Amino acid sequence: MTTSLHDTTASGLGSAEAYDHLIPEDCIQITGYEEAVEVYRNLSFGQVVDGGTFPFRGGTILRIDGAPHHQRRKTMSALVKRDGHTWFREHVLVPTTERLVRELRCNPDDDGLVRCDFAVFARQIFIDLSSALVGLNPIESPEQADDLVDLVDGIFGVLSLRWQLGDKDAVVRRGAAARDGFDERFYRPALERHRQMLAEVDAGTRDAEDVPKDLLTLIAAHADVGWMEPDLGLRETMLLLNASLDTGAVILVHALHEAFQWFDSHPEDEALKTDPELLLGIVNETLRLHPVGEAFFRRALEDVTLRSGREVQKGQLVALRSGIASRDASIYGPDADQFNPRRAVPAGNVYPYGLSFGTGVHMCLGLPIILGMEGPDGSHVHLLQVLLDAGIRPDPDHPARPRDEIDRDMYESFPVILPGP
Amino acid sequence: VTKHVLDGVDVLSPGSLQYTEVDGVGVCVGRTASGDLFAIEDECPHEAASLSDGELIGDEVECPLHASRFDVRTGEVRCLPARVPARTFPVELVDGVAWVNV
Repeated sequence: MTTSLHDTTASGLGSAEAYDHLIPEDCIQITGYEEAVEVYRNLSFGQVVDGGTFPFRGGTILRIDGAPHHQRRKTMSALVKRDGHTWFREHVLVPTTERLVRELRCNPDDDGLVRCDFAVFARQIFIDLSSALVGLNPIESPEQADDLVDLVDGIFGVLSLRWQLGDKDAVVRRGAAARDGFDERFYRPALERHRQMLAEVDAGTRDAEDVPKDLLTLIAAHADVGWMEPDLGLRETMLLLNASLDTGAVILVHALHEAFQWFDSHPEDEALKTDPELLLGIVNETLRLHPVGEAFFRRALEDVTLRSGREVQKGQLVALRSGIASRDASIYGPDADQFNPRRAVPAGNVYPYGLSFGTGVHMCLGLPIILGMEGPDGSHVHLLQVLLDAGIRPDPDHPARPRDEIDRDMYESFPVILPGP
Repeated sequence: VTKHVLDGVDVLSPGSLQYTEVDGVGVCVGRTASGDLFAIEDECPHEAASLSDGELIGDEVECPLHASRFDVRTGEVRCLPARVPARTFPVELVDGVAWVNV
C-alpha cells in the first residue's frame, strides 16, 4: 500500500487543485503558504458571507470583524482554553468513546468480529462532545440522537453550500427545515434551561459554580452584546455545533485511515501504535493533508499591496487555498505531498498541521480541543490511542466510500472491524 | 538596549497586567502573585492581540484571543497555538524605582 496523496484523499480527486472549478472566476487565489498567512493575518481583509447562508451564520463569530469580533472571541475562547478543553475531553469525549467501543464489542458477528461504519461512529462520538460544548439538554434516546444528527446534517448542507454538488435549492430547503426543527426541539428547550439556571443563581438558590461552562450559558447571560438579538444565539449555536461535529468527526476518520495506512506500510512502527508522539505526527499530517476547508474567502476592505507586490483592490474577493498552501514545498519540503508523521517543520510560526485551522484572528476556536495545550494532550491523539488499542482495523471486504453529494474530502462510509469481547 | 523608568507600577496589584509603551515598544508589565514585577512584549507573537488584555495565571500570561501562553520570565511558549517565544525585558528595582531594559 502506498501513502501517496491520491490514496489519502477520500474524494479520490487526487490533489487540492482539483477543487479549482469551485472557486469563483473573479477571485484572486492565494496558494503559497507565506502569502496565505500574510492575508489571514492582515486586518485589511474581512470575512465574507456566502449568498443564502445568512440565516445560518450571518453575524456569527466567523462572519464579523474588528472590535466586535475581538470581544466575542475572548468570550467564546473561555469555553475551550485553559482547563476547558481538558474538561470536555476527559468528561465527555474519552468516556463517550470508551462506552461506545464497549457497547459495540458486546455484539460480535458469528466469526467473533464486530463490524461498524466508522464514518457514522465518529459522528456518534462527537455529537456528545458538541452537544456538551454548546449546552444542549442531555440526549435521552437513540432516536433523539438520530434526530439531532439528521438536523445537524441538514444545517451542515447549507453551511457547506459552496461545495455542494447537485440541486443547491434542495439543500437550502432541507437546511431551512432542519434549522426550524433544531430551534424547536433542541435550541429553545436548552436555552430555557440555561435561563432558569441563571435565574436560580440570581435568586441565590443555585451556586454559580453549578452552571455549566457552555455556549448557551454565555448566550443566556448575554455575555456578548450581539446575543441580545434572539436569532443570533441560534445561529451561533448551529455554527459551533456544526464546526465541532464536522471538524472533529471528519478529521478523526481521516486520521484513523492514515494511521491504518502508516502502520500497514511501516510494520517496524507496530509497537508504537499508541505512542503519543507518533500519533501526534499522524494527527498533524492528517490535518495538513485533509484541511477541513479547502479554501477560505476574504474580501479586501481597502486597497492592499502584499509583500510579494501583488495588488488587491478594495472589494476584491480572495480565496485562501489552505489545501494547496499546506502542501507548499518551500515550507514543508520536496515531499510536502506525502504523508510523513515524522516530518520536521521549520522553526518559527510554521504550523505542523498546515493551515487546516486557518490562522489570524479567526483561527479555529476548536484547536485546543483537537490539539490540547501541547499537541499530544489533544483529543485526537487520545481517541486514536483508544481505538487502536481496541484493535480496530479496516474491513477488508467493504472498502471505504467517499461522500458523493459534496465536493469535499470526506467519507460517506468507512467500514471497520474490531475483535469481539 | 536602554534603561527606562516604568511608571505606575507601584499601584500594580499582584496578579494584574498593564499596558505601557517604552521607547515606542508596546510592553505588558505585570506583577505575579508573589509580588515579582515582569515585562514581556505586549503583542502576542502568534497574532495581533494585546497580552496585557489577557490573564496572568501563575507565571504565565495568556493571550486573550487564542489562549497561547508564555512564561513571563523567559517568554517561552507554554501553550499552543503560538510557536515563537515572546520577548521579555529585564526589570529591576533601584531605590524603589522600577527600571526596564528595552
